[in-house]
Amino acid sequence: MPNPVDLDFRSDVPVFDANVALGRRHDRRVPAETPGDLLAEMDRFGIDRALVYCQHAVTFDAVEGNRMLLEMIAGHRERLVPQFVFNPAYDDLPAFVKSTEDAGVRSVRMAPTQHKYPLRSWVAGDFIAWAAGLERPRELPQQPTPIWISAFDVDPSQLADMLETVPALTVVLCEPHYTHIPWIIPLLRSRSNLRVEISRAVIGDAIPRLIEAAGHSRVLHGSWWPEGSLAAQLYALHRCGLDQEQLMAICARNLDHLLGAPSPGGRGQGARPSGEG
Amino acid sequence: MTDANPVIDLHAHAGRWGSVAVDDDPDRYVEIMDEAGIDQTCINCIFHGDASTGNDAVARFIDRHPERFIGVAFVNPHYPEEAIPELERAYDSLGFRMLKVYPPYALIPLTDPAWEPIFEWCDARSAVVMSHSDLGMAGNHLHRPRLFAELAKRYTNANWVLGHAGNAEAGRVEAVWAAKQAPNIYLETATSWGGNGAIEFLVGGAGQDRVLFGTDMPLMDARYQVGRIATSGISDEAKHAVLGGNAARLLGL
Repeated sequence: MPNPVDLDFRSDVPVFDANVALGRRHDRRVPAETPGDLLAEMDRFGIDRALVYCQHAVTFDAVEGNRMLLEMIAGHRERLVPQFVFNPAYDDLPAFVKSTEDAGVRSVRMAPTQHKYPLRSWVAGDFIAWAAGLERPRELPQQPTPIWISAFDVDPSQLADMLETVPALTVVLCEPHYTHIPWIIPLLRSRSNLRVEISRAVIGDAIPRLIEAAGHSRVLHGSWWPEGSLAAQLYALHRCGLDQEQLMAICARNLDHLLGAPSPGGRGQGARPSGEG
Repeated sequence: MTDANPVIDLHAHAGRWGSVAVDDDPDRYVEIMDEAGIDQTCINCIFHGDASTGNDAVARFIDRHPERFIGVAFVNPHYPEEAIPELERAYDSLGFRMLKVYPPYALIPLTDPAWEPIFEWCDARSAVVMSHSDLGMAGNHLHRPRLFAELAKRYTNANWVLGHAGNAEAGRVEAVWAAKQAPNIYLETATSWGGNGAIEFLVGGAGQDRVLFGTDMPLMDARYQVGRIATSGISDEAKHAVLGGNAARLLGL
């Protein structure tokens, strides 16, 4: 018998959304753009925190976009956790590293296709080494910095090579569409340093299949808001027959673990990293 | 959901789909329908050159779970001599309730004369015809929403369903425009292209009685597509209408 559809859905577990963008785009009107828009929707569905980056940092300039992000989320740092964007083909790495330390940023998004560079060591090697926690001066934190890359924004062979060459690197592949599933499943099976964010993983049985390929500790909930609905995939997660341990890990704990330290505030503090990985 | 508020998926496929690494086990289908809260699924098989092969695959789904699947016919416009007999077999022998056509696969625009005998048959039967619709990606000339307005005015007894309601934003705008041109046009909700705010836009533009829930299973997961409706900002009354009330009325269930 069909389960009843829940028209007043709220999450059963703490949620830390791993894929949210703020700000406007140059090429079209976005459905929503401000922290106020986001927080109102988060409150409606019982979502505690979101990892946020600035649209402009991907679509035009990372340095400007990262600065705009900090301005936008000032006053909301308890719930909106900043993610910076880095362009290794143009941006200054030491300055970027300092900016992440100053702002307490613990993850970085890359956009190889949109920023027009191949994901190769001769372009991104120094940055990748830093992100992997290699070659860091002793006085700096040694915690590696995970990298987010959209499945729409990378050559899969280049990604596979990078993951193999730098095993200490952790990459979160986000927005996997059904057109990417034929290569994502084998890549997850063959590269243990790859994680997957599920916002656009909407092919039939996508969530169980990704868990089967990677284990639930490598799967992260994200919404792709404001392009995607903030809660549709969260609703689906609650309907996939997952046990509470799996649901809590995917909805928040895996992201907390990746970011290395609890972010302040929010219900998510009740679901801290277990050490699984 | 309940007898009073059925949940009916108007858009799903039978057939193994190796090119995107997805399969179509009918028993797993029903498990997912149960988890998603779907009472009945309208299922088609549009990918065979020989339409009867696809329609027979649909019939096997129905044989296995007759209370859960509703048959949707398919015919191939490249074989006009087979189309009408196959439509009659699908409707009168197999008991199918609507027709799905897929211009991106046939590569024939919806308004091409090749479809005319098929659509004339549907008009004479007051049938429901669903087609893929899209704008801004490949194949605008094949299936853009404004073509449906032309068809709906020409074949006024048939009811026309825009699969995906134009799909992305530009298509949705034109889909709502099309729905305003003719009362026999309906918009189906499935998409993988984001669509935050799309349900609110479709209901606000076309009216809650003209929007139909669909999943595109197994290409898209039913639980996600239900989630898009359930968590949208439309009223509960509109959610019930979109999730199944409108489809029940349209299909005479």
